[in-house]
Amino acid sequence: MIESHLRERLITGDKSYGQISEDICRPIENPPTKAWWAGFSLSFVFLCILGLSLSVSVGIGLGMWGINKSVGWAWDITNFVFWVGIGHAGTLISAILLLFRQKWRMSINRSAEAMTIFAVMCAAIFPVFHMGRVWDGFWALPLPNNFGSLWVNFNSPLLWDVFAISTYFTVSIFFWYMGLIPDIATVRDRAKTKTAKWAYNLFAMGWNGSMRTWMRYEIVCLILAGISTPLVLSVHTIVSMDFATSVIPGWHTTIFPPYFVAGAIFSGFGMVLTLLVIARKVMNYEDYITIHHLDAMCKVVMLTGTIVGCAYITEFFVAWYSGVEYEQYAFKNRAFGDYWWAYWTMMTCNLVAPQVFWFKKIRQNPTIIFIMSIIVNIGMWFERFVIIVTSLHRDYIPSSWTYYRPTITEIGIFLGTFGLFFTCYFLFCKFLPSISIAETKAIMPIDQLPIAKERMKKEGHSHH
Amino acid sequence: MKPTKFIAGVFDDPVLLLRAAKKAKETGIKVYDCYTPFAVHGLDKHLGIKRTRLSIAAFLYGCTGFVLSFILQNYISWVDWPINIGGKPNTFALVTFVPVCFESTVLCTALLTIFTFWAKSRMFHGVIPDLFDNRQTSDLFIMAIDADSNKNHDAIESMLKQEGAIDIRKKEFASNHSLIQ
Repeated sequence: MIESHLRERLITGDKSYGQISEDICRPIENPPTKAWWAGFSLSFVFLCILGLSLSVSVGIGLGMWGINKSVGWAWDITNFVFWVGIGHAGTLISAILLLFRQKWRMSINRSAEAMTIFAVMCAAIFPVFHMGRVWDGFWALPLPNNFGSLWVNFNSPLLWDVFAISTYFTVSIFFWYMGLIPDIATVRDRAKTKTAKWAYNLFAMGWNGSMRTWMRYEIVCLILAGISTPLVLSVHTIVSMDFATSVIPGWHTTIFPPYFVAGAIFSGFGMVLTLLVIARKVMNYEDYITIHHLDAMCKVVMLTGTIVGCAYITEFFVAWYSGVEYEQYAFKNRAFGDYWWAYWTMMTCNLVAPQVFWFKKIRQNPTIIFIMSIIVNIGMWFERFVIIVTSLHRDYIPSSWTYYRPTITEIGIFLGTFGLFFTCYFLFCKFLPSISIAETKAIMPIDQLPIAKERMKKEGHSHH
Repeated sequence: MKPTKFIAGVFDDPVLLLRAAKKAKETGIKVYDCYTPFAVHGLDKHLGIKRTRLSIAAFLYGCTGFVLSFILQNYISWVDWPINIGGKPNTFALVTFVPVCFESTVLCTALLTIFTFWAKSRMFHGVIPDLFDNRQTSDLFIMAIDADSNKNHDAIESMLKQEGAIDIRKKEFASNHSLIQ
């Protein structure tokens, strides 16, 4: 048998199958570390801030936000698009990379999918609370009723968004849970206490590793990957249509769908890198999430960052080439108007900064990667802010021109969503295997395992 | 009801399990199922597992979702209460119905396929599994042979031993055990 060495090994450290279960289950089976408690407590404080800010928004009203008659969408929709975008990397890794048979995804897909679910939860908060009367939120569903407007309007991208986001959230949760079932069974069969055994047994659904079930399971996962791929593209396409189908200068462009999707992947990988650079260190997963995994993710960041940058420049060209004075003004105003600082932050963070990843040395340096990932997150937040606020604050009528500033309540909600996101992430790391145990075992090169070496010695012949 | 008996070969190497499954097929021993920590590719051929028809079901579920949401949208915006919004036609407005049709297709496919998979594999929340070894979901590979339908127990045991099984176990499960296929 010839073993190709074109690629670096995906899992280092000569692990046996038992060792993999042992390593990945360690954080679940041991009491949480001090670092975990510190991180969890801090996140929980921010989660409380979220609760407080939302109570204020509902109890007193949206007057507590900085939005006004011209800038009716501001931080709320910025944060909505920001979080949805972050979620997209999870589905990209779990679905698109599965279809492309990229085996390096196996070590990172579980935590990226978890990130998707938590990010979509954070995202959903914003449009729901922007409605004002949260308790009437179900009016967005096509229910037969005899109050208000009789049915929903299927011509509106805002309604499409309701369907897109809720479908995306549901499918992501089920896809994630499907992947977890065999691993929950592993944890169940290793569990020492009665409570743990009972709890993991409840969710393992009687999984016993039967070959017939495995064969069906793989087909189901493939089908889910196949439908999640167009789903993730459709979600951000529809999010972009919220803007693109309106007649606001700077929004009314056909480039939006691909530009938003590239931006979503870019920001999502930024967030995955932020989490994994820390997690691999704290949870001792360096043999599983190797420097080559980080390297591959950096390449994706660089590519998508450049696509996004290309879209920024194309927008400018089209505004000039169209000859529409409102469009031209909108873009001049973006770069040199009241919010020039936001525009140039976006340009620097998204187009210029990721170009450092052309260098292999930088792609393999966790400290620089971590800093870069934060820069990408900041840049992508500003992209949404620039698109939304700079386009709105200069209306067609100069008498409605205004300046938007966030209030303390809006800042509280935004910071609070980070609390929700990280609280969920810390709980996930403690109670569920954050690397896919079964899939990691399946990609181990079968002739390089300790058990294989023993077998070959016994049989008295060696390969190569 | 009398319990179901199994002879189980315990392996610690998927390669040996594959060889044993091939040998069993050649010598006419009917393997009930194998239990492994991950999907061992190639084993399905030796066990004679047919390709699942779940993908056909998934396609049909997708069609159902598509048709239902298409009917719903046309009923709402055309038949029941047509509203003229900005002078845009709301009657049989096919293009604007595409996104919601697509999302419903995906939702129906995903959920119904997963539910079918669970039902077909007899997976329910809280089912207590019948295991041959606690490590079969971690690092052991089990080949289970039905002791009632295969009579030549000695031949089975010597085959398993010869193929490198680290242990051979005889297990009895209640007649309503969770391994029923």
